[in-house]
Amino acid sequence: MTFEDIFKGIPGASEFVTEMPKIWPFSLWQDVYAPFGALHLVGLALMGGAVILLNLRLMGAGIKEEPLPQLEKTLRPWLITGLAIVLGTGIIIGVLNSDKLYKSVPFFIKMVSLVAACIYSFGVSNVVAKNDGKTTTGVLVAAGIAFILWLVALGVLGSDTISAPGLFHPLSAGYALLIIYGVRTRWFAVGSFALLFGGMFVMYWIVGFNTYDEMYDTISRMLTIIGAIVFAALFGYEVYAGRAEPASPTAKLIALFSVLTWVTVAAGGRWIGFAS
Amino acid sequence: MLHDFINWIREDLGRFTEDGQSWSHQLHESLFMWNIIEGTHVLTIMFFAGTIWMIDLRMMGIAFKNMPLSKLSDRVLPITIISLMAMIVTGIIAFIGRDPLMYYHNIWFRLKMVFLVAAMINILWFHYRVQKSDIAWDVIPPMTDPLPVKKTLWLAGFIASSFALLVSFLVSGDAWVLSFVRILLFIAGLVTLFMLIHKRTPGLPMVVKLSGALSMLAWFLIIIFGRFIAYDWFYCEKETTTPGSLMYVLQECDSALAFREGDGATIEEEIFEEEEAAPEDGATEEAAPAEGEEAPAEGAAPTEQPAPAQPTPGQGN
Repeated sequence: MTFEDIFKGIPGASEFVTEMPKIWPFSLWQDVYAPFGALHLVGLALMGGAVILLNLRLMGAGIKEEPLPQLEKTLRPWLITGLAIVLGTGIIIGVLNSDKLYKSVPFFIKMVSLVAACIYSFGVSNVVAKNDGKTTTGVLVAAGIAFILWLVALGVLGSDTISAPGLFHPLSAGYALLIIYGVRTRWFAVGSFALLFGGMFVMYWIVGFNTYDEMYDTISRMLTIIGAIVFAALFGYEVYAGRAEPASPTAKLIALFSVLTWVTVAAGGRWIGFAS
Repeated sequence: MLHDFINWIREDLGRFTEDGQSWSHQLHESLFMWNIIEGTHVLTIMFFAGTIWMIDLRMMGIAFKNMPLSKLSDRVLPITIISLMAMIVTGIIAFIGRDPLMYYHNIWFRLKMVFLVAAMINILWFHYRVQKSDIAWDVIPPMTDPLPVKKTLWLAGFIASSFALLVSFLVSGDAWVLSFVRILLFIAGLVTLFMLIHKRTPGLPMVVKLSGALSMLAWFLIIIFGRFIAYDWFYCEKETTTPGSLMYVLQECDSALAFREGDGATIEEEIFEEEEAAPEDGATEEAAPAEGEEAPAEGAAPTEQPAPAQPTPGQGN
């Protein structure tokens, strides 16, 4: 699935996309393309710090000394600054590469998950934090929409032969969250991750990293699916066992999906390069 | 000597038989493994730089103003350390798996390593001072600003230098002169911004603010230089990197080229050859087209403008 597949019925759409790099002032930035690409990563990092700290707090971990509404207020300017850098540089990079991105599956994944991530950050997580962890019907509806969009992005990612290995990134981020936050399941998470993905690495180490045998690809896919199931079980248990804690199970799930959606945005961006 | 060691990593590490391949070559030829490792390396930035910057912002007194620094670092540093470990492990594997000699003779990689060492020293020093329970580091910065006039001057300086920097990207001219001007404006922007922050937080010790600012700048540059590694502007093999030039000397191109003549093509050179055989995206000899990154569209650059430099295949930060 690409934007080209969606808009191919619209007359002139393809030509417009091809001509985009000639639009002023983008046409002037052809030779200074590199700094914008680098700044894009800086914005992503700044935003990542704000996203992870707020959502960890929603899970009941991290900066517990600061009340949730106060923490949200503290982090909001950095989230907005990071997003502004990411969007500003992203638009420049996107326009200069319009034709390639128009036909790129990972770019489609990135854009769909970006919409979902923005809904999470600005319509769900921040509202829940301002309400000291309490959810409203409107927030749940917004979270549901964002979750569906994220699932669409994951579905496209998983079904694309070239980009499918990128599923490892949100999955490993999930395990990282469990290791940081999961007081009951931390060591299970460490063990499962080491066993499944360390095992996969060792398997390729033994047979050769450049092995193209279909059997090892199948094993890798199976290990990824098992890894996802184990993660869901561990996180589910963590939420269930901690249901009496001040952080509600709904807030914990919102926080998890918010972080993983942003990681999917970043992973989509990185795999644009690998898949082109 | 270091050159020989890195070449040993490239050619011999993990090669157990005469006909076998080193891990470096195996990873380079792998279908997805290097991409997954390198992608993870880039994504750990989200967790690592993002969290350490929050501590740096507190040190400069512009975030988490109501929290003692030691308490904040207790809460945030575990995340930062886990991310740092993942970043280092994936970074080393990515280094091994992509022609380590190319990295070794790359000016951006060398700059990245210099600032990485500087950032690590800063972290160790910060840790040492905080663990000594130096009360000054935990100062809660006052919210008032007793120096509004000076603050306004620094603010004006920051806005002017930032605006001039942005405008410089709309001006065409000699690339070296423009780069030099942009670097000067960038430094001017940083200094005025730091002074603005300094004037706004008079109750916070200068050394704390300076440590935070240096850490933030170091990680900023590490990300920027890491991303620039992918670009082939100053590769030793390029004709524009002439013998005796600054980049030639700084990258030790003598040993790189002498080795290349004796040993045949490097991995990166092989990639260039593949790319030249199948040109696309309007890239010129000056700017290798990217298999592994976005490249400006065909016909995008007006003929009088230089084509944009492109990252080499699959590479990134």
